[in-house]
Amino acid sequence: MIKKDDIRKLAALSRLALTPEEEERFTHEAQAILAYVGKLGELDLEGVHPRTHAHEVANVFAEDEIRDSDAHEHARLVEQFPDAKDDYLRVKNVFE
Amino acid sequence: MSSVIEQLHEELESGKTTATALVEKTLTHIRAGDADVHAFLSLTDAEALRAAGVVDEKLSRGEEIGILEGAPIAIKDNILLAGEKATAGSKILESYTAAYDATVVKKLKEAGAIIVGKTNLDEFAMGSSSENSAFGPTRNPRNLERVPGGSSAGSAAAVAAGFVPASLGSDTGGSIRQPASFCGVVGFKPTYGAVSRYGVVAMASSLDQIGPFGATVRDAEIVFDAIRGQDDHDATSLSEMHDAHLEYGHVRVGVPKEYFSEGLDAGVRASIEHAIEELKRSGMEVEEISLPSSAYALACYYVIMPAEVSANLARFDGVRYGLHESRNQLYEEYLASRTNGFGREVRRRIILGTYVLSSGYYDAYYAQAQKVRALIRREFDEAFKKVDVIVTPTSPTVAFPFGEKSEDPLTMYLSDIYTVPVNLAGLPALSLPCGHVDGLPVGLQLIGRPFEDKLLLALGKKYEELRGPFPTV
Repeated sequence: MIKKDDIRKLAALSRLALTPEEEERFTHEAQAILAYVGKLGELDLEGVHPRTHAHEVANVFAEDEIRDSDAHEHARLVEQFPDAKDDYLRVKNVFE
Repeated sequence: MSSVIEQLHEELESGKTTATALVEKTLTHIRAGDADVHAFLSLTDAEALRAAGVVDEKLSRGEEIGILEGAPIAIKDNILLAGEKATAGSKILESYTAAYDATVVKKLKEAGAIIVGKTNLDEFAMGSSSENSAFGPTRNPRNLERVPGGSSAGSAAAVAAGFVPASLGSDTGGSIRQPASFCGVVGFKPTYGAVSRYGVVAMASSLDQIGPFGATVRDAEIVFDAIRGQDDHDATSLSEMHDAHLEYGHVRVGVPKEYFSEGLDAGVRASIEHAIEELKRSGMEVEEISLPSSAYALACYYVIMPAEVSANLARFDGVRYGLHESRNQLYEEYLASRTNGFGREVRRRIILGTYVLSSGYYDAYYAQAQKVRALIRREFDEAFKKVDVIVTPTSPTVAFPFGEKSEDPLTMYLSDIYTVPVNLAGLPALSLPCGHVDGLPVGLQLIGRPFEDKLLLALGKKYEELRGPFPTV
């Protein structure tokens, strides 16, 4: 059964912070949901091939060609940057 | 059944009204009526009036106009409309402005449809009641004390309230069909791949599909015909589509017994059984079928969907766009931006998805669910050798009161029990109103073979004739 420590660890892996109340609540809820989905284990699936997609799909390749980006689209993307220098996205140092 | 879009088209062509007058009337109607309903998060007056002007110019030159030209349409707020807000119902995207048009929006604009606004939804399309929207819930126009369903709550309510004849939603596990059922309108989830998802905020990519709501099946079909087709921007989109060519008298209807068991409201059952009787009286052959793995579909869905959600929502890191919480450390920024930006249901599903994908649990949950998914599809394929269409309830109950299920996620999830198998199998399905329980609409779900979307819509229109009118509010 999933425990509070697991929830805490999963939250950190997911880059989410939980309050102590939420840790408690999420633990109970996850236990209930996992108990419900646990019924998948009842089925005998010997020889069943897993299905990842609704239809049989083939890879789709695009020509490797340079296309100009739309100027409006470009400007709108840059406007969304929380922090920018000229047209570039400014981010925090990854290495100290 | 008379289509609202077709009526508007006639009025425009005959000069009874103009596109500009129609848009003004629509916006005024929404401003007056939406204070109670809250179907819309934003209205796009300027762009709508500009587009209407283009249609009016064509009309004044005596040019012919297409069926969608001048028709007001609403768009779910997880679909991008260039230069307009696209919040996806989340605080993390509260101030986000779309940089480009989704393919479906581009196609609607090309067809001359007038986009009048963006509609409310459960955050990132995760929910069945609109109570998970960061911007407050939508109310059901049929009864303001009841939820409209979800996640495409605003798009369903906007049609039910008579604000617009059609709208766009997205459906990952029932998010078009369940609100259509609750609000008493038509909702259509096309075959997986029939409509491009380029420009929709991804939730669970192997299940997500964009589709229309309409006041009638014909209204939904007109929008579907405008948006479908292969798109280079979505590698999963396909152009394959079969024509509707069955003789109604020879239609074989399958009724899966598993969809009429425990948990189904007695009134809803009676209403669906009555609809099935009407189909039978019209000359269709009705037979009982069995889809035993459907009992495992919801469990399967609540493994696959959160797994894909946890991966898709990793992109919201506060670095490139959306809510950005400034901190000293990069890790702290991720943590603060995501924690303050995502609501409870979204965080719950991300954590659950991270769990089922983690090493040690992957085989027990994710791999097992993928096998069950294969089984579910195989059973549908077998059933469709015997029948042409499968009929079920859309949801086990009618619209429930606010707060009734919001504290218990599992209970809320159960309202999608009849819709999720369709997404897992990638099939087309239509929900259309078939009756009332306690004054609230009941939804009938028709499920078809892959790429037989047009047949499904033709059958939907046939059923509407048998049923008679089902007016919006």
